Amino acid sequence: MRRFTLPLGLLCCLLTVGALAFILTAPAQVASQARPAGAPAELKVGFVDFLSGPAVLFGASGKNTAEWIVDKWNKEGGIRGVKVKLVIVDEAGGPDKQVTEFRRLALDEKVDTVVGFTSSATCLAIAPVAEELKVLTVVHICGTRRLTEERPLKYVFRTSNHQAADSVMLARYVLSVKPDVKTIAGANEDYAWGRDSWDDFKASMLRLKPDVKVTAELWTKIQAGEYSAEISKLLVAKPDVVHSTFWAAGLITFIKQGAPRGLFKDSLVALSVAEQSLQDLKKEMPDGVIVAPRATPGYFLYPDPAKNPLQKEFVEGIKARYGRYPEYAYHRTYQAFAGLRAAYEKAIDQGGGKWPKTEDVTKAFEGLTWQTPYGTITMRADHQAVHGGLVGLTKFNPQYGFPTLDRMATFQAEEIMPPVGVKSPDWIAQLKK
Amino acid sequence: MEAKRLPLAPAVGGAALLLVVPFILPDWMKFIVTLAMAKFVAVLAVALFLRANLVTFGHAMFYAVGAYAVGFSVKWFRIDDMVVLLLLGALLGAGAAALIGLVMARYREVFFAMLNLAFSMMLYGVLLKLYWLTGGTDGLGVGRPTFLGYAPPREYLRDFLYYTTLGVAGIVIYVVHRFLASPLGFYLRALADNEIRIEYSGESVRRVLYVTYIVAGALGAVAGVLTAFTVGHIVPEYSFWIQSGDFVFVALLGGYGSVVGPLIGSIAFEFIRTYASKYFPNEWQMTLGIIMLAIILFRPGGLWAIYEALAARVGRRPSEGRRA
Amino acid sequence: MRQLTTIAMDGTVFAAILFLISVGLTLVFGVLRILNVAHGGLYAFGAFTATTLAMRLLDLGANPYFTYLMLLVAPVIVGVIAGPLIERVFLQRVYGRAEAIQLLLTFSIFLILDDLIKLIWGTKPLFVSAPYTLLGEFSLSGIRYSWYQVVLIAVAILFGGALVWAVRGTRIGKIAVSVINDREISQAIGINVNRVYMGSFTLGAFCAALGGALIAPTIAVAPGFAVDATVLAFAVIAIGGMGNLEGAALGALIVGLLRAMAVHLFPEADLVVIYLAMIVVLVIRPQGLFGQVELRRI
Repeated sequence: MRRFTLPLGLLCCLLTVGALAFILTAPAQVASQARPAGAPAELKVGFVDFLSGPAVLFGASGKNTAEWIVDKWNKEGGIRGVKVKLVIVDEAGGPDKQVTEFRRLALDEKVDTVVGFTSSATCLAIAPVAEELKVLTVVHICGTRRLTEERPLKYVFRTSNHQAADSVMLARYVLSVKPDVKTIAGANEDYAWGRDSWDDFKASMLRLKPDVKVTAELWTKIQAGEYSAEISKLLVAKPDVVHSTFWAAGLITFIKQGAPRGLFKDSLVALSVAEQSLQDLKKEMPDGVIVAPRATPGYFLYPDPAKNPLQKEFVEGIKARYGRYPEYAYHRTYQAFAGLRAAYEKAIDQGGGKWPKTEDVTKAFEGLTWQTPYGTITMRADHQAVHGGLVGLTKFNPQYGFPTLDRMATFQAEEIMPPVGVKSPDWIAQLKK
Repeated sequence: MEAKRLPLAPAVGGAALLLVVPFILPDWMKFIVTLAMAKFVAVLAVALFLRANLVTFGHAMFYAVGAYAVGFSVKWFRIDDMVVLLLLGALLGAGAAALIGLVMARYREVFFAMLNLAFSMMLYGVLLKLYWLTGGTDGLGVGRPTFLGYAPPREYLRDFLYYTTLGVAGIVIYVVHRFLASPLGFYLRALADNEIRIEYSGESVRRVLYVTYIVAGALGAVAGVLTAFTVGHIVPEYSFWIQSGDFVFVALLGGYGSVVGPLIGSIAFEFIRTYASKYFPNEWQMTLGIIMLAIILFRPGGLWAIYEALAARVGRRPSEGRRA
Repeated sequence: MRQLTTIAMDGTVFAAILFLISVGLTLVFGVLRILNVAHGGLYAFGAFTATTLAMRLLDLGANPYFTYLMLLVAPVIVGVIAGPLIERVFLQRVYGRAEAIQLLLTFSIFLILDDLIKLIWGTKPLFVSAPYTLLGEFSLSGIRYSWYQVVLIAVAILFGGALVWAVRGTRIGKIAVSVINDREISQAIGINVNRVYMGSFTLGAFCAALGGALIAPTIAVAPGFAVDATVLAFAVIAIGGMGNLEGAALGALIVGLLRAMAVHLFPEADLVVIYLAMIVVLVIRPQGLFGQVELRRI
């Protein structure tokens, strides 16, 4: 009798073990089946943003998002089974340092693609290098319109609106909440970002309401940190609306110095980058200030996370890991990575399941529409992606301990970004209500 | 005190090494060496001043003059010839130095440093503000250079830039060496000791400093031209005082007592900077500061002095007294 | 008329800030004849320390008026620690060496301090508002100003006056002046020159940190803001005369008023007005407005 029970027992054990083995290895089998032919062991993505200097506020947001999204993807199996490896580089140091770093990323680290670039000077400097070395480069935040408006690009893409959208959007919103505006003033930093932003805001306002007068145009050093004289000038001029693109510490200082002196009561102040600092300002930020996450179609409370699973995952994921709600820099980084992945997946599908060359991905990227927590984005043929924008008025929110947006308005991409082939200043000059 | 002979053995050895770099080093490292050699020309200018016990925190202005000479020439006159622009840059740099030098030659010590800083920061402000002319902080792209009319194919552009820069560096080393071996060069070094004795011997201190300033200005601008084409994009920060500080740091690192030292310093600096910021993005300034402190406190002659000390130990040549 | 009072007020406020930033630098140069490039780093340290101490105090629920105490405690901490440390360990080794070397030494210390701040405080901007807003506002020609700005002016005047009195009127001050004029003879008559140097540098460090601490309530501190302050301080003391306290005050006043005028009348000039002033003054009078001509020793 024993002769037959042992094999049976053994058979059962073997069957159980075998079944377990099959179940446990099945996902790997499935994944390796889905792995495109010719796929590398991992997809190396370089990420360049400010890890030092005053712009570190952007870089920290970017780095956090990059790490969070790549970890999420890798946990889910990677891009069609290919894990992603991030190589993070500091954007500080100026063009000669950045060009060196880009070359090092491309030729030494041999990354497959580079994502990042907040500073306009940097992205303009590396664009020719990216084209020369034929490296797919996805610019996530850099705002100068010149990147995509001045010369045709083959390997460089920008996945977010450029700075003209911020100005046009603010102008439209100002006119919607204060249609009887008569005087405007600007307080901006004296460099390309401040200059272009103010020029576009001024031009939009004058185009949409030609009888508006400009009563002051103030220019400060970048991150000047001392604005009493400028605030005095604004208090003297008492314009209806003040436009400013101050950011990070400079913005906080401007609000610290201006609010107690009544600047935000005398004038309606429009701040294009302030959403980023709301969580830091907390009670310092007065109510009734026009604030935007630049021209980005949402922020952490809109679209409502309760109704939007992608937004919910994003907001909760970032808050849980970094203790902060995501602001526009987080989102624009997400936009870039999500777009990159969508382009790769489309290229894989278009190529019949084999791993694409860089040129296949660039081709797939053009015209691509992809999903983000705040909605869909479309990449145009000129390598500039367009999306809508959200703007609102600050109102202190006791639930969060910092102001959130009230009286929000959303604008469509066509209302705030120029069409393909039209330069922003020309488009603004022809702006329609 | 006899004129120092150009250190032949290391010079020839170094030159040979640099000649073959494009064949042995990977592409991106070749880029770093090109950049280092370009900036070295400006560092050499700063080293000249350091020999006279003068620190300048404003030499970046000449560097910017050269760079923007390229930027404007390419943008408005469609001139992109390397040789033409090197000569133009040198001329403009010398011209600017001739103007500013009229004022500057009266100053010493800390005032020399401060006034140079003021001029360079003025230029920075002007370059930044006239943004419809200069591109402001967005900067100017300079495209690809031609070499006496010849436009090299894309794959060889980097090599052309490398050898051109190497050639210019070599010429500059020789020119500065001859300058230092000339009476003016001796008087320059004497400025550090005792100016009144110079005047006793019949030479005008003002003239010595003025001529040096012009030479230094030309060198700074040449460095700017080379860097502009190597990097391909120029920004007003080329005139910022921290850029001047970098030049001074490299002069110290390499050893400003020799003409070859700054070249070693420049190459070392570029590599240190690349690797330090890769591994310590938030601490690389501190790394530079610590290195500088170490050199000042323990080896003021810089890397060159370290080399000479090693060479002396091996017995090949006597180490000369180094003046810090 | 209103514009005049506004420009005057803005100019004086900025002048007070500039004076507080630069007085330490000119003091150190006056005694040690070294331009302390690390001054900006000490200023930043003072600002960060004061801000975090005040923030902590408020978190613990203490009376906000105690934050003013922090503004005085922070610079003492910074001065007492950083002053002797930098002077004894580093500066002392380069006395008598070439000036280039001394300048580069302080420059490297500046680089180290700048990154040290990042390591200690991180990279996010920090700020505290209580000291600034607690005193309320007032109206001058219809424009509201914060009383704290007036406090800054008062402190600048009082502190400057105290320093001048200390130098001219006290024994220690006279000893310092003696060391300034001739180090060797001072040593020969029994003055402990090393002690004077250390004390002067510590005082200079304290002044730098005090400037930072007093200004901190009006701004948000973030790494890198010292770079700007450094260049401003250079410009102010170069204009006023390096090593001269009254010069620092005059230089601060000139630059402050020029900038206020620029902002109100020619906003485009704001960026360059300070360097222009520096160049103009240095070209006409190289030693600065109150500076002394250096005697060349044969």
